Amino acid sequence: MQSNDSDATEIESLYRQHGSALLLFAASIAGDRGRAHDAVQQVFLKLIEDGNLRQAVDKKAYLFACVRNAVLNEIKVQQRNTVFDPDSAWFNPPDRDYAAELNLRRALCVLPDDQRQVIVLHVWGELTFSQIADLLDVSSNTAASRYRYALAKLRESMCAKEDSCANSRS
Amino acid sequence: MPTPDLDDERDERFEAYLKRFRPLAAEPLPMENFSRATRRRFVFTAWAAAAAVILLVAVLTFHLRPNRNHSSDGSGSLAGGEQLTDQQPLTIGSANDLLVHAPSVKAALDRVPFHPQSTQLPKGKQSALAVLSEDNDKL
Repeated sequence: MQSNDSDATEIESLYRQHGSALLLFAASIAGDRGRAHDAVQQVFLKLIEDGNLRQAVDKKAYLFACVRNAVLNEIKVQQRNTVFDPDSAWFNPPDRDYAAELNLRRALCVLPDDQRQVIVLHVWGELTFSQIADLLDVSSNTAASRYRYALAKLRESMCAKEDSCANSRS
Repeated sequence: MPTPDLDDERDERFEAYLKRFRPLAAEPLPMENFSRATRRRFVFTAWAAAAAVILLVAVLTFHLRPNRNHSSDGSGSLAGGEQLTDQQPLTIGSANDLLVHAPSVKAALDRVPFHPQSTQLPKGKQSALAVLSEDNDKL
């Protein structure tokens, strides 16, 4: 019982630490923040219930994999296509620049699914290409290559609308 | 597919720019609801287990009781299908048991051992049954 409590505490701590990145990752697959939120919470509650996290070597990567599976299963069960909701924000933009937030979200949404997932996992999930490769079942080189293509497309797409990002506000 | 021009410094700057967008925080986990649901499930499971045990005990008791009566009793009560042996006396109790458990009255009677008349009559005396049967023949 005590180990269950400590597991639950650890899982809650992981949720506080990675919850926002996981939610963003789920939203980038589901297209809808509400569904993403449900999927992430279900994953965590199930982990508390089953205690499967104990077996995971790389807990962070395992959490991202669980969330990805949960969202993909939900999409499969509902037999629906991913439709990105333009009204639900995904980010807290710097300097409250909500136009830039919308711009980034739109640019992310036009990326192919596999590239969008790699970008989100590497930039906001802070996973290495090796972790991403394991998660998406591709080679590390493929993951890195997808990332570079995605980054180039994203920059092109964002900077076409917003001059200020051309210099990346360094 | 053409390889995009890779400008590491530009990529890093753009990556740093992207990181300035912080993902929106997730709502806290509904731990209270979860623990309540877990507790409710535990109570339900406990009640279900208790009900199952009670049901099992009741079923076993119901099935074992008649057998125990018959075997522990030892006073001549008979289970269905048994037959009285020659040594067992035919009592009202055992006859009742036979009638209760046999599928028909005929079957019950078939299970009763009728001893053959082995009593030897003294010389010069006749059995009343034999005399009467002779009278019947005359009629």
